[in-house]
This record gives sequence, structure tokens and C-alpha cells, in this order.
Amino acid sequence: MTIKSTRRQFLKATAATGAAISAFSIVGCATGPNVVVIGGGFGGSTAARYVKKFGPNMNVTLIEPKTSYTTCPFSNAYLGGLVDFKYITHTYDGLVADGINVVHDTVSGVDANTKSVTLAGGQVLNYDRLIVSPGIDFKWDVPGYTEETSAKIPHAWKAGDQTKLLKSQLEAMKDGGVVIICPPKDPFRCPPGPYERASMIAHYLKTNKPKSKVLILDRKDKFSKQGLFVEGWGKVYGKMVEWVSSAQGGTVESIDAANMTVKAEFDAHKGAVINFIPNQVAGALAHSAGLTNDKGWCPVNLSTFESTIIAGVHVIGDASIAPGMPKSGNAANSQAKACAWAVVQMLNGATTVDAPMTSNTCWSLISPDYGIHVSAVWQGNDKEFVSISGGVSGSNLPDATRKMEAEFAPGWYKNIVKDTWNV
Amino acid sequence: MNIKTSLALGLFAVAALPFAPTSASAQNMNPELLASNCVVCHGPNGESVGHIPAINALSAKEISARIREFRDGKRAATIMDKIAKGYNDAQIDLIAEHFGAK
Ligand SMILES: Cc1cc2nc3c(=O)[nH]c(=O)nc-3n(C[C@H](O)[C@H](O)[C@H](O)COP(=O)(O)OP(=O)(O)OC[C@H]3O[C@@H](n4cnc5c(N)ncnc54)[C@H](O)[C@@H]3O)c2cc1C
Ligand code: HEC
Repeated sequence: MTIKSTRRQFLKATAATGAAISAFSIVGCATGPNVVVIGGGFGGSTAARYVKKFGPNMNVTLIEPKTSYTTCPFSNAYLGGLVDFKYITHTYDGLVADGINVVHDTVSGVDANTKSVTLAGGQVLNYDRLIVSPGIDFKWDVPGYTEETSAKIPHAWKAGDQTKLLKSQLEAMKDGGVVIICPPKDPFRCPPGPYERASMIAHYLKTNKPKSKVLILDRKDKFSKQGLFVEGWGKVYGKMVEWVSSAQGGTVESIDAANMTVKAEFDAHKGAVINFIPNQVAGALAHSAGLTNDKGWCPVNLSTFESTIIAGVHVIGDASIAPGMPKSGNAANSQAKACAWAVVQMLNGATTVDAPMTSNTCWSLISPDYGIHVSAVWQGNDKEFVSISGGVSGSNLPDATRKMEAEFAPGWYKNIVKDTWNV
Repeated sequence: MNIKTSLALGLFAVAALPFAPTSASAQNMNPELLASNCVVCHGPNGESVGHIPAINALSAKEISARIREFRDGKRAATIMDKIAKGYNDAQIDLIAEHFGAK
């Protein structure tokens, strides 16, 4: 990276965030290797912060088009009316304060030969190591459901305007309507997410439109924390939430947006509101950069998260293949730390890095007073992440325990947000 | 505790608990990296905001004792019992030292 482009870069970032120039003069002094991070979500933001933490001399640049990031975690609580949109939206000021060059632009190309990335705005940045955390994109493989349809039938599986749209539809619907949720096939981001969403929508309906119903038409026969969700739905919502497995005819064959109808294997179902969640692949950038396999995800070395396809490029978070670990924000955060450690070691001359330990916990809210979790600690090896310990909340626990877990969930949220974005 | 004793304890723990981590590799004995997976719940430096207890006011001794109690089922927990089982004695001591009130 030339001095000129570095300076331009941080002038631009400074203008965008209004950060104090003094914070940037530290960056100007970072004379070490260039680490470029693509994507300012859970994986990328954590990676940028921890590369800087483990290697203070590193010159770290984060590229992210959005000037604020809305988290998927707690977006279901937003749908349930528990928190407002501001609660789940965060700026990049904390990363800037950490001495990271934050550039708000979209990466349009990665060139592994010249070790450079090109931004949509035309800027070219050189890297010594590149970390990519672009999240997911959708397959659009169900007839009748396209990107255009999502303006009427939201997926809300990337948080932002889609989440607001789904909420406004719930608010506009009449009491007595059916809200249909169609969870995707495996693998997808946040395995318990669709079922937490069903719970939070049921909470909203029970409070505001008690004659309404939530119908889950699933493309699978089992799902994460299933026993706990089914127990909780029965206790809190009675028959208000109904789950139809793939075997029972839940598999969606097509969507008729004009008639607000989901054509499933056995029946057609009309919804007052439909939340269709498409099947998923790694984020588009991973594809255009040539980092994906034939299934659409990125194979990586599990010690370093370096791509097994393109040397010098590391892939973390939802886009990567980390057998044994779920695709979650907490998992992306944990992978980012292991990856940051490896990147700093490698840039300091290490030739081998051992497989890391990682961990993840996902709390789900069944109601504001009813939380459940799934948790694990892993040891990586060259093939997979082996769970050393973990499990889910017990079944039929006292109400007081469920309530305690419902309070730990926002506790986790605030702390992981602080750890990831320094806000 | 010096590194040699930590490693000895680590190896001992592996022998005693068949499912404990088998690798005493550099990063799995690095306090900062090990502790980085605690802060998503307990907050940066253990200074939690919200309902999960902060751990920054506890001494290293108290932290390592409590984690062992969680691990051994001697302390009431919703989740820490599971997490504690993921770490061997040497790692617990390194993490406790990292967070312990100075
Ligand atoms: C409803 C719902 C609830 C969830 N709840 C939880 C939960 O409770 N706990 C949990 O741990 N996880 C949860 N998740 C999962 C979590 O949101 C994801 O696993 C996490 O966001 C993955 O992080 P990531 O860094 O891989 O991708 P993302 O966080 O999606 O970040 C990717 C970033 O890359 C940027 N980007 C993409 N392409 C480019 C490009 N070409 N140039 C520059 N930037 C680019 C994007 O703008 C985006 O900001 C939930 C998900 C959903 C949908
Ligand atoms: C997923 C969230 C989570 C993670 C990760 C986590 N903890 Fe905890 N911790 C908790 C909760 C919740 C409690 C309260 C006890 C319970 O309900 O399990 C707790 C309790 C504790 C306590 C007792 C505090 C007190 O006041 O008695 C200590 C010490 C502790 N944790 C240390 C750690 C360390 C060290 C790590 C990292 C190895 C860690 N925790 C990882 C959630 C977490």
C-alpha cells in the first residue's frame, strides 16, 4: 500500500465517521504488515480488532459498505417488540478509535497474484494477508421467490430494512390472520433463528392480536433445540404455534406472491404475513473471488482459516466451512480471534500454527421471561472441530431458571457487541 | 505458576479426563486467546454490563476455584458448568490469572 492511498483512505474514513484526527495519527504510524479485512459483521469486525490487539504494529484496514451495522441477533426480539431498532444498530466509531482504518465501500475484486483488492469506488489496496467475512447470500431456488418478491414477502435474514418491513407487516395485519414462516434447508445461518422468530412473533401476536396464529412450514424434519422449543411453545402459546415438518408436507414447492400463498407439498396455505427464508450459500464476494467449493461455501485450513483454494486469503464466519461449528455470530467472533492470532503469528514468521479452541453459545427467547441455550467448546484438528463440552438447557426446568436465562441473553448481547465493535 | 508446572498439570488433566483438550499447543496455552472466548459473556476485561456476573473484581484464586466448582458440579449454574468442562486445570489457572483483580 502506498503512503498516498493510506492517507486518502483514512481521510475518507475520518470524514465518514467524524472521528478525531489524533486517533488516526496512531494508524499513520503503524509501519507493520498490511492486513485487509472484508466485511464489518461479527467475523470481520472481531478479526480487525484482534489483529490489532495481538499485533499492535499491524496496519489494519476494514472494508464495509454500510456506515452502521444492524445485528441479526436480537432482531427477533425487535420483531417481538422487546427492543427498538436502535438497540440492534451500531456504528464503526469504536473500530476507528482502536486505530483501524475503516473504509466504507464495497470490494469489487480480489487479485491474489498482486495481493490486492479493488473497491467499487476504484481504490486499490495491497495486503500482506486478507481476511474475508462476507456472511451469506441466497440461492433463490424456490419458484416464485426472487429478490423482487422479497419486497412483499420479506426474508429478514440479513438484518436492516427487511427486518423493518416484516415488523411493519405484523403491525398492519388484522387479528385472526396466519403468519407463515418457512425455514431453510441446512446449512444456514443461525440454526435456532427461525424458531426463535416464531416464538417472538407469537409473543407479539399473543399480546396484540390473540386470535392469530404462527404456522411454520419446514423443509427439514428436525431442528436446533427442538425439544426445548416445542416444550416452550406448548407452555407459553398453547396451540398458537404449529410446526409442520418436511415429512408432514412442510416443504415449500413454490411461492405465489400475488395471492400471498405458499404452495407446500400437500396443501396451499394463505398467509396474512409470509416470512420465507431462502436456502443459503457463502456471500457473493466469496464466489466472485473464487473462494467457494461446488456447494457454495469456503473450504479452509482449520488451524489458520486460510483458504485451501487461495493462499494468503483467510475466510471466517458464515461463509467458511468449519465442520462441527454452527453458523452464528458467536461462532464467527470466536473463529475471528483464532484467525487473527494465526495471521499475526504468520506475519511474524511462524510456519506452523496449531489448531485452535473455539466456542459458541446461542440463547433463544421463547418469551421475554423464557430463555433457552445451546453451548459448546471445541478443539479443532485438521478435519473438524471436536466438541469438548457443551449441550442445551435442561427440559422442564423451573420458571425462575427460564427467566434467568432470558436475562442472560441480553447480557451476552451487550458484551459481544462491545467485544466485536467496541461500542 | 510457571509454565512447566502448568504443562505438567495439563498433561495430568488429560490423563484424568479423557475428553479434556489434548493439545498443549502455543495458542491453547495463551492466556489472552483463551480468555477472549470468555469476554463475549463476561465483557471486555471481565467488566460485564447486564445480568451475566462481572468477574473483574474477583481474585485469580477465586476465579480458578469457582471454575473448578462449576466443572465438578459443586456450584449452581445454568451454563458455566458446561463451559468449565471445556478447559483443563492449567488453562483454568492461566485464564484466572488473566482476569484476576490485580
Ligand atoms: C434472525 C437471526 C437471528 C440470529 N441470532 C443469533 C444469535 O442470537 N446469536 C448468534 O451468535 N448468531 C445469531 N445469528 C447469526 C449471525 O447473525 C451470523 O451468524 C453472523 O452475522 C455471521 O457473521 P459474518 O461475519 O459471517 O457475516 P455478517 O455478520 O453478515 O457480516 C458480513 C458483512 O460483510 C459485508 N460485505 C459483504 N460483501 C462485501 C463486499 N463485497 N465488500 C465489503 N463488505 C462486504 C456485509 O455488508 C456485512 O456487513 C442470527 C441470525 C439471524 C438471521
Ligand atoms: C455463554 C456465556 C458465558 C461464557 C462464554 C462464559 N461464562 Fe462464565 N458465567 C456465565 C454465566 C451465565 C454465569 C452465572 C452462572 C450460571 O448461570 O451458569 C457465569 C459465572 C462465572 C463465574 C462465577 C462468577 C461469580 O460471581 O460467582 C466465573 C468465575 C466465570 N463465569 C468465569 C468464566 C470464564 C473464565 C470463562 C471463559 C473460560 C467464562 N466464564 C465463559 C456465562 C458465561
